[in-house]
Amino acid sequence: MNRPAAAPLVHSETVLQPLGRSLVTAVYAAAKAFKFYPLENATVQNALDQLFRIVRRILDREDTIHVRLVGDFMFLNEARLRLDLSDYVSFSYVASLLRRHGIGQINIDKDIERQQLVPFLSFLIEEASGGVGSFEAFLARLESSRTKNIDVDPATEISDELITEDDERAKEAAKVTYFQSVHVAREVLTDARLGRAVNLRRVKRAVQSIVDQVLNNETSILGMTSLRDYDEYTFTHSVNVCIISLVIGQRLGLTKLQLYELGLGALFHDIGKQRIDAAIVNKAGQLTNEEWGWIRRHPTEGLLALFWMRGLAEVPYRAMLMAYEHHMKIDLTGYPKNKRPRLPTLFSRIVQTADGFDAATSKRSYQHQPWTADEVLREMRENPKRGFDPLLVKALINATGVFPVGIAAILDTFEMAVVVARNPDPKKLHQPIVRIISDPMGIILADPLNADLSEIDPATGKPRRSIIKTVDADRFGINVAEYFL
Amino acid sequence: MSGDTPANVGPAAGNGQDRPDAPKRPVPAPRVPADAAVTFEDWDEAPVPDAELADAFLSLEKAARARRLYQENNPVLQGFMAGAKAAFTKLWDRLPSLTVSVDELSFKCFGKEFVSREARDGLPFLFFRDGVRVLTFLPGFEEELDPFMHVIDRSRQMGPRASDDIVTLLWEEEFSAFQYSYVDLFAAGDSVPHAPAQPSAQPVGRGRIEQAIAGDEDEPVSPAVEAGEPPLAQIVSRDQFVETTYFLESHEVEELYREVDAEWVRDVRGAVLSALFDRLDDPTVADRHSEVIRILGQLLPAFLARGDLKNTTTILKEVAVFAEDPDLGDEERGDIERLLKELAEPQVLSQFLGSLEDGTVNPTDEELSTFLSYLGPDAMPMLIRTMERTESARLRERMAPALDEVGRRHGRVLAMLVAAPDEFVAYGAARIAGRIRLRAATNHLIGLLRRDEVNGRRVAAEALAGMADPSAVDALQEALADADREVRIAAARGLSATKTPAAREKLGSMVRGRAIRDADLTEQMAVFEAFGSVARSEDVDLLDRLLNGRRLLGKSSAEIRSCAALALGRIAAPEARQSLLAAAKDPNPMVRNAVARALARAKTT
Repeated sequence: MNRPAAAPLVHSETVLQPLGRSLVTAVYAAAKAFKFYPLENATVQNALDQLFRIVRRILDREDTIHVRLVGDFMFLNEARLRLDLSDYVSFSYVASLLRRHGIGQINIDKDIERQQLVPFLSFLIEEASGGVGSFEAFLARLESSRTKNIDVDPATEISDELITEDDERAKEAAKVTYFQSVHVAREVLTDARLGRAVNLRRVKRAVQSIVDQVLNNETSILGMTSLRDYDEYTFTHSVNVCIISLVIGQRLGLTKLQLYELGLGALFHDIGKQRIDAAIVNKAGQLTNEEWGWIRRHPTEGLLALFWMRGLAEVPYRAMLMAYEHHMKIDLTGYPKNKRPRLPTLFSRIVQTADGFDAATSKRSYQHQPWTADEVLREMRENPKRGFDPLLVKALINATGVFPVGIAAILDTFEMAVVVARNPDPKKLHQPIVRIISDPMGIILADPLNADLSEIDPATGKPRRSIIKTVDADRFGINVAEYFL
Repeated sequence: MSGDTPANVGPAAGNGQDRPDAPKRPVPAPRVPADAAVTFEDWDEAPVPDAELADAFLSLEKAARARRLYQENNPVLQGFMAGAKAAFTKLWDRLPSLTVSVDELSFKCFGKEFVSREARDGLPFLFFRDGVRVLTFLPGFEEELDPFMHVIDRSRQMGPRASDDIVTLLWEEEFSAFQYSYVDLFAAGDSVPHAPAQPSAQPVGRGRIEQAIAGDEDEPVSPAVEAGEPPLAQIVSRDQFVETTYFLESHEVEELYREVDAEWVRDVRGAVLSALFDRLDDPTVADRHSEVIRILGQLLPAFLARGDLKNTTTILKEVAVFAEDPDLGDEERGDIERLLKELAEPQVLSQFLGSLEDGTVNPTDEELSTFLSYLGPDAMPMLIRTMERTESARLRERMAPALDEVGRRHGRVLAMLVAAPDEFVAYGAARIAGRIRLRAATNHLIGLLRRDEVNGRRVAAEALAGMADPSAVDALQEALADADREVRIAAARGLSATKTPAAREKLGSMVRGRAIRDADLTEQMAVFEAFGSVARSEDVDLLDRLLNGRRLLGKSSAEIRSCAALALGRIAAPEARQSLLAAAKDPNPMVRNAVARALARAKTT
């Protein structure tokens, strides 16, 4: 099953992200303004000015603009646009307008003039059937208005195939990043245990790579965290906490460099355990009180260990705090105990949330029976005694959906399924994309098929399929990893 | 290694940015091929003359070399940078972008090889050694030349064991008109698992599915339930999913953004320190106390270098408290002593004082005072020297009270410093000793008063003023005959401050004597005012005679009359006031002015 990876050629990031995001936000703002105010209103005029400025900026770089809606993703020319908390509402809105008219692509050429945007936006915000003929009706209106330099193409079925191919490539990239990062985690944590110098360059490259994946390929890299490997728990847990922290961080609008700092700290959050007797850390049975005492020391040990980790440009204060505070609850119970006033940093609370989620859903030495991920999320959100920051838990759920990737579930059709992606619509977090792995009779499908649980059955007006129960995949002999690798 | 050109490196790893082709409309080729792994062999002919490409690469090399040799504002460097910008700008007339493969000692594009003249010091090797194999320059690169050169510069300075390389540095910089692809040399040999062709699961069976839904399965109890928490609902109901429960409201999003903003202004150093202090107080980690103190010892100079006196003084306060623990072990005690000693090391302190002087750091008065007060006697020479030499009156003003406090704590050391060979240290120590009336310094001050250096004698005379010590008075009396006018003035003022009978007698004789009549007005005023300060009511007659009396050859000079008036103003006696009122109509305006000032002073005193 394992094969050595050729050293892959890794690419730096594309340049259109910020412009693309600004464009979508500007279209959103202009469409909203058009909807509520007359054309001569200053709000509308300002929104048009802003939109035209951004269009011109893009055209100064690129000869033309192609905004494409492919599945749940939006592209500006070759760049797939990523979204965060600050812009996902605009993305959803603009995508819904395009879908309403059956538009797959908007094309703008370099001779576009400001006033040509007016009819286009007016038609875009109008109601449409959303069914067959919507696109033709839109196109006819656009053509009758003699609007030049801007036109549209219809949404096509081919897009779905393409997005599948795209997803496969993305999944492969995520897999390479994930397993390389686990290798790195193993190497550095082992070095730390043996008192050897840690290869920080390798760590930095790994974290940079994870940041890139989270920014561009979040679903795939997040899916990797559902691959549980008991034997590698220490290392996979470090990488998982790094990924989950970054996913939360992205939703908080952290910049790339801020995510990098968060990721580095998150990867090292448990480094203190490397200073504790491995026999205790890896003990399979119940821990004695004394052994628990040692385990409770690991945040302190992490604080100290990170100080001595030389090679970083300066003392990694924030990472030290992430290691030190990640077992403190929001009411400051937990451990270590504080005598002086303390407010755990936002980064520490993010790592605490990610750590809590991953640890509770993993099999590890002193927890043979993990919870299912949806149970964990509900517990984290609903039980204040757990001491998680409720907003960060919400941000996590926003990223993972109510049923995180990797959950095995039984559907109301009696089919069994594995969750493979959250629903990109933030209002449908409880209706993920699943891979159906067995038929209603419990026969495993040789060729599993994907299903969007938000898909409505026109006959009943209700979803075609719904999750009615989540289950422990191991108990059904299902190796969830097989559906991700 | 040199075989790892893009042509034989495996296919590019998708990174989620690869675009699917547009379904209908032909989309223009992106400026950079999506997989970016184009090679120089892909091109039939160059759309740019070789000379222009060679010029672009050469100008880039030259700019990089100039950056190594010259300061940023140096015109030579600026010339080379302008040259590189011009060379690249020219390329965009013919090219949409420039993709270059990187070999060990050369760049390659359009079937041509451009060998670096600098061999292993050149740009190609710099990229190649860290695995970069393809570079793509886009229009606008010239605008990013500065940060690009910054990365090149930093990369050159890094040794093989550094924690960064050119790849990590380029990543951090986030270029928009420069892209690169690299072979992850570290990753070679890592294995990646792959899924089997067929799922391994066995049929589950409808019965078991129904059983699971019904909850008849022998399911394990979740850890939360084991811990006493109520069990969660097992069957998922659609009614549970009220979207607002999971959806981040706009005010919640705002709150998170505020938290992010607050995160970047919070004092993470202070938070780390609190953690370390809490652990110092924690007996369960007593075996780590020594390590914590060592860390604090390393943080101190770092904080000082940043001018972070708040956290520096916090460390000092906490460590001082910890040091008072009677159960403290020898090791910890030794660590603390070392920590404080190292703090006063010249190289540590000088950096801090330098930043303080040039205003780079600006602690509050309280922070500065607290910090300086924790410094040991070893730090005193440097602190005093800094205070003496600084041109900043504000800094002197701020340091003085703190140094006075240090002087009080370490009086004996301060007294010794008055005799230091370094003039700045000696004079500064003398001033402090004078301000804090350090009697232990009297002999050293007298010694200073008798030295050849005029400035030293002046400082000593001023400092001795505060010493109510017979030997100090003797020395000051002696100094009234000093060759230097300033020393004499200081001695006169000093004597008056001692308020001793001997001072009254000596100053009285000077007022009566002839020598003072030959001195300049400032000295005359100093002596008369000094006398006035120690004079009694019986001395009014002498001064009245000088102010109002007729002498054989007429009145005293206007200067002496003025000085006598000032002296009378310092005597709190009715006779003195009478004398001044009598002189209120003196024909000389200078005298009338002095009388008026003296009367005003007499009134207030």
